[in-house]
Amino acid sequence: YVDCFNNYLYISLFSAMGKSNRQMSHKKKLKKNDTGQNNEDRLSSLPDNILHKILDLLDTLYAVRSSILSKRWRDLWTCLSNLNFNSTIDYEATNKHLNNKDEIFTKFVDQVFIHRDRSCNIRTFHLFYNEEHFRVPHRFCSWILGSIQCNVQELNINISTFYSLHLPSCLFECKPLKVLKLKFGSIQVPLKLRPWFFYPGDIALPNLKTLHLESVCFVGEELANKLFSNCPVLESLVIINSQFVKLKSFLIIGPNLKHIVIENCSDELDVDSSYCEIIIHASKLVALRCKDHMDRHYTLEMPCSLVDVSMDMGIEDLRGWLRGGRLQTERKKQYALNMLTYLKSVCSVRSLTLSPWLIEVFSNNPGIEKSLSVSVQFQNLRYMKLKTWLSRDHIPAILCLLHISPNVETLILEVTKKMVNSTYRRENQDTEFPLQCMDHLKFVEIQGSQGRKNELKILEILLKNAEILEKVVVFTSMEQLPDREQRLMDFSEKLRQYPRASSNTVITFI
Amino acid sequence: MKDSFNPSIEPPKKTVTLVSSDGYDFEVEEEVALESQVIKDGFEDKAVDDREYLLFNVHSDTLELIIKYCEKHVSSRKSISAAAASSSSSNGEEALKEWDEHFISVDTNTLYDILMAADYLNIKSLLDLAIQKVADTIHGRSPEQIRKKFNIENDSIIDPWASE
Repeated sequence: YVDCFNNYLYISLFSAMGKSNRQMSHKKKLKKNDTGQNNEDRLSSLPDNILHKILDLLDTLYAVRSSILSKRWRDLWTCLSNLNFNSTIDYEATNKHLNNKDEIFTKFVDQVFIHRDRSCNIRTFHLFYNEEHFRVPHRFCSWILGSIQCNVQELNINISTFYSLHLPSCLFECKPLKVLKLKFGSIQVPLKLRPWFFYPGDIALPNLKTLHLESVCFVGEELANKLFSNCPVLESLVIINSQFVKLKSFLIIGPNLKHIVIENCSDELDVDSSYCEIIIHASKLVALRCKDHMDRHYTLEMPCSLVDVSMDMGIEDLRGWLRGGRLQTERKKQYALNMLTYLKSVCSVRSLTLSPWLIEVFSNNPGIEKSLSVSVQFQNLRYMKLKTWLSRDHIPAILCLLHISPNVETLILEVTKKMVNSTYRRENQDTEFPLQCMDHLKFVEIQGSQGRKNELKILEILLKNAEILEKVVVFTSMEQLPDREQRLMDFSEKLRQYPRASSNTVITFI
Repeated sequence: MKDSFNPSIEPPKKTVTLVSSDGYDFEVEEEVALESQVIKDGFEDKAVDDREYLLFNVHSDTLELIIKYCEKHVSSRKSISAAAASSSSSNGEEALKEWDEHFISVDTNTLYDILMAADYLNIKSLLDLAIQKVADTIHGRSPEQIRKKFNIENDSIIDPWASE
């Protein structure tokens, strides 16, 4: 990209000869262009490299179509470096002899690969194919091969399909490749039918910086162990809606990994086997987002430089959780211990987001609250976002989290729908909790407020203790309630009466 | 880092003179001129009193706009990094995007002038902005509409896809 750009730099800059014979710029000048020149075709007279860049920003269909504008435009598209095919665009005008949409699309992509100038490198190849009947274009592998032959740097394939796909093995040895995004299937496709991502033999992706895998299956230990060790410069990894099949552990290891996202992964479980463990070793990690269920075990080896962590942990099987008795309590304890370990391993973080289930397992769990406050200190934490049901049980857990985060400046509470009933607490527990941590808190936001008692309760505690609190913003979600106005008035009236530690607090309702 | 070292004493602003194709001088701050990669390359080799650039391809009307763009970007970058350093929230980047959007909403002739100047001076962000603007105008239009919009004369009768 830059090379091609520099070729055009035929210009050099000259020192001026002297100022004496020139005017200064602040004088009034005549406009250069009066209306006379408006019929000129200045677009076509732009240099090739600029026109190529313009065409590269269009969907390939429109770029190719530009060839019929005039002679000047006829061959410009053949040097496109971005190929972008999207089956949701209407390709029918490209072929009058075929009726089937699939065939028209396939034919068009084929034609582009046949007629384009093969000496021009392909920078990105983006294929989005999402038709209702989930039939994979059978030419799909040859297109990938075609783009690999032209040193493709960014490959972005998004196909909905019911069928197992075998990717060409040379894809995993494509040296120029910097970005690889593969998304197969969609959420509608049942997990068992999602395409499998097989260990392709050899992997060598020395330049790969970004890897996004969505709706794929990881099969076999060998893949898991070799995939990341052969991508030495990988910086960003996203694994979404994917499945681990017959894997005990999945090792994510990258000396240069900066961003990791893992979301909604599942396992193909036999009765006896346990969930695939995810092990992350990333000494340069900056951000980690993890949305998973608490049965999966994580081993996190995190650096102090970690900035942003989101732990959106939940419960996979809600019925199992609610089946009262011993099991529930034991599982809750086990989950809480696991979560405690995760929080310990990310304790140097500056920004943290936690899920309601995570707060739930810490709630009404005095042993855990104690070990949390003894063993974890979020010294660097400035921003904390807690998604919570704000049940009676959650408030002490939230206060406990604030207690171990002495430097928090921003606190966001996102109130969401309650998933389990409260258990009863011992009396006086919630008022007793010491709060020594509020001398940095400047900004509090409550999202999805319904004007409930517990919202008032937590705000009362915060107002009473936060010495430099500047702003409280309450986003209400009371639209459906008939007595919204009245509730809102009562809520704000009570709120205004609470004693405040800071004299400068502004409270806003939105 | 350098800024926070001693914020109270600011060094005197160094300036560079840019001369438009129609002979007007524009005195701009060094860091504004350095937004142009072409000026930046080899800038250090030039003598301090010789930092004057004759831009044969850029008319004063366009140069005025280009300088406005560069000044805005230099100052926004500073305020964004200052906001980040004090960890206060800012919508600086969004505001800049909006400003860019407004800046590039010009008539097609001016757009070409900016495009050519940004290319000539190698100001990547401005070039990308202008190219995106042209692409947005082309996207989704039929060939006939594009010809009309850009005054393109149809001098070819062969439709390369018609034979398929």
